[in-house]
Amino acid sequence: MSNGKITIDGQVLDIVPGKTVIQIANDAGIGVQHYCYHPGLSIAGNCRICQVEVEGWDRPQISCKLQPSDGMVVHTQSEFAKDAREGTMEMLLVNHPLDCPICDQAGECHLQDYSYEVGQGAASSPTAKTNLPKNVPFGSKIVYDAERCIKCTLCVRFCEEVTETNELAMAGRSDHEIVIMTSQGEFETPYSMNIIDLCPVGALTSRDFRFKSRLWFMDFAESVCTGCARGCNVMTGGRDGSFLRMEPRENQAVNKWWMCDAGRLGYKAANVASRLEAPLVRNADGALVQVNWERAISAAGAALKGAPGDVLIDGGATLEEMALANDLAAAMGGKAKYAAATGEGDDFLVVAEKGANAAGAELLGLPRAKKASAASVVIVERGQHITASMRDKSGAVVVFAMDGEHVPDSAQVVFPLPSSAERNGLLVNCDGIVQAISSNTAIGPNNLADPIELIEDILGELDDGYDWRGRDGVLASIRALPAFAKVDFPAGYEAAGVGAGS
Amino acid sequence: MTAKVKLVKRRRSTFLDRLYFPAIVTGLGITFKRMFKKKETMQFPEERWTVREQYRGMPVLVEDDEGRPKCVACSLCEYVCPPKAIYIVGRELEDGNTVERGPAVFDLNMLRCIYCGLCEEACPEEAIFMSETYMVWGAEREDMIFHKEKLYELGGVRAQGVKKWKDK
Repeated sequence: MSNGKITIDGQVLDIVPGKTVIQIANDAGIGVQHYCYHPGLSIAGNCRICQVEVEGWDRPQISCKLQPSDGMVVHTQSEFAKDAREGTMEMLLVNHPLDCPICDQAGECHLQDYSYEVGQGAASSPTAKTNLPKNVPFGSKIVYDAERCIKCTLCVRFCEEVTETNELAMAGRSDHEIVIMTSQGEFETPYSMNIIDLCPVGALTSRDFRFKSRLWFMDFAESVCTGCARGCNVMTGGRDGSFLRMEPRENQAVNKWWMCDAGRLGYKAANVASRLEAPLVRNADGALVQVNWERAISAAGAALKGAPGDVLIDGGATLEEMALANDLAAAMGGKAKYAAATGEGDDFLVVAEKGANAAGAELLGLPRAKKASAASVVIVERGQHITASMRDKSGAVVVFAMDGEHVPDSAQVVFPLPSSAERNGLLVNCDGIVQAISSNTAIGPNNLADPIELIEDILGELDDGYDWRGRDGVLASIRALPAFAKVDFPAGYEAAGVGAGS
Repeated sequence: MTAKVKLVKRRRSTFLDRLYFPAIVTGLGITFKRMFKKKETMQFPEERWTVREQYRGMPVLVEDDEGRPKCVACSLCEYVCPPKAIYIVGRELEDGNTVERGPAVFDLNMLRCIYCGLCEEACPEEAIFMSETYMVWGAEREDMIFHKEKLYELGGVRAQGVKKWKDK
């Protein structure tokens, strides 16, 4: 049964029960400006920027709270609606300090964006702007600036409704209304930094990212957090080889709009000073020296040839890398196994399983290494999965590692491994959802070889008849496995040619 | 469409031209007359130009009359700079400083600078100015990359202009 029709900007749209006008409009691609509205939170209706004109009604209506009725005709771009929004904008800017040059939000600030659209050059208010507390610490991770705050209460509602920890509240009246912490010290919730993303202006900024880079110099890529097996969808942001920040990306099936603080701040492993930037081979004096890729690959082939051995792979490695590790182990007459740490989980996003692709390894049939055992090849990304004793007792001769700290003394050949923000590939999360990580070229050392190509080259050294398959070929052989018959792969992953072939 | 071409007959040298001597006399005459006129050249580097007010010399950073650096490391000059001569890294200022943000690194590569003045135009804090310095030299490439300290030293103090943070 139809619930009736609503006309927005000339488009006739179906009314969906439970959805207000702004949701119907946004679903149809009619962007209605908003600050205090968020699809994951309750509707407050206090910023007034989403006002629209409804035919036959005398006053502008806030579309976030407006219940649609059959036959309603809404205009978002009429003079009347624009006038209402211009007035709202002027009111919001009466006490806004306009310190965009020092504000970290500049470039992703909705107040800035809408000022371009509906703002005026000058304010008609003759009074001076109010002075409010600036640089107020909210725990150790967040900085609050009351002058920039537009009192949309998104952060307060997040702590009330999503985390249910109630750390924030509004205090004061009128011009002097500010957000306060209800308790001293740290946030109770491990999800506090989501309020930085929620904040439509620069009132809540990250202590960690503070003043590190302007947004417009950074490059962003869609990827997945590898902190635990949940696999929250993220955007990675970097500049000049440094990984600067990670922020959540909406995925209703996995993380909705959120991610945990530990995952968000877990990017720093890519920035360590001891990152390996070129392949190393141990010379006659017992020292690891830098060589070119061809020399390193042939040295790895020579070191592995003829000796049976296992492959130990990081639980955060991609599906393609694990499949190839399996092939490499088979070529050496050994087994491939993976190692993954477990920790504490909670009832929201964080899960106890920390290996970002542990589920993928299980699907591929790799056994889980629980304690130290011998292996000829070790692929270690960060130290948390393959522990120091596991890698040192493995006696591995060929090592793929992100930084020099994780290279065991037994290593004869060392290949630099790009971090998860610099690689392409697939991860299977704790719910069996296959997700793609993609490389951000602004992060990490230049010219690191794709581990998939390297493993294939080593396989070529071990087996003269080896047929190079490239990324797409490896993926095709994974798809052909019976365990993956019912698994959905991300749409367009192969079509998009992510790191296609080699 | 064909262009209209007008043929001009080349003048042949006359006998007097080919003698060469009259031309020398005419030339020396001009030189002799110039000796009693006002000199057009100057003895650089002993003598220097006085540049006009709007001259675009080397960009420098300035402090206000209370000794506070004006730059807040907003990086708009870095963004606008056509030859990418500027590199900035921001930092957080000490507690209690209402400006909060300043440059940790401000490098100006004078091998790249084209003296266009867009940095001065873009600056929202009136912190960078085109100075009157037109002589920039260095023995090595590194010498031509001017760091924050040197730029402040060259810039000195500008009391007037934006002082947004004064009464905070």
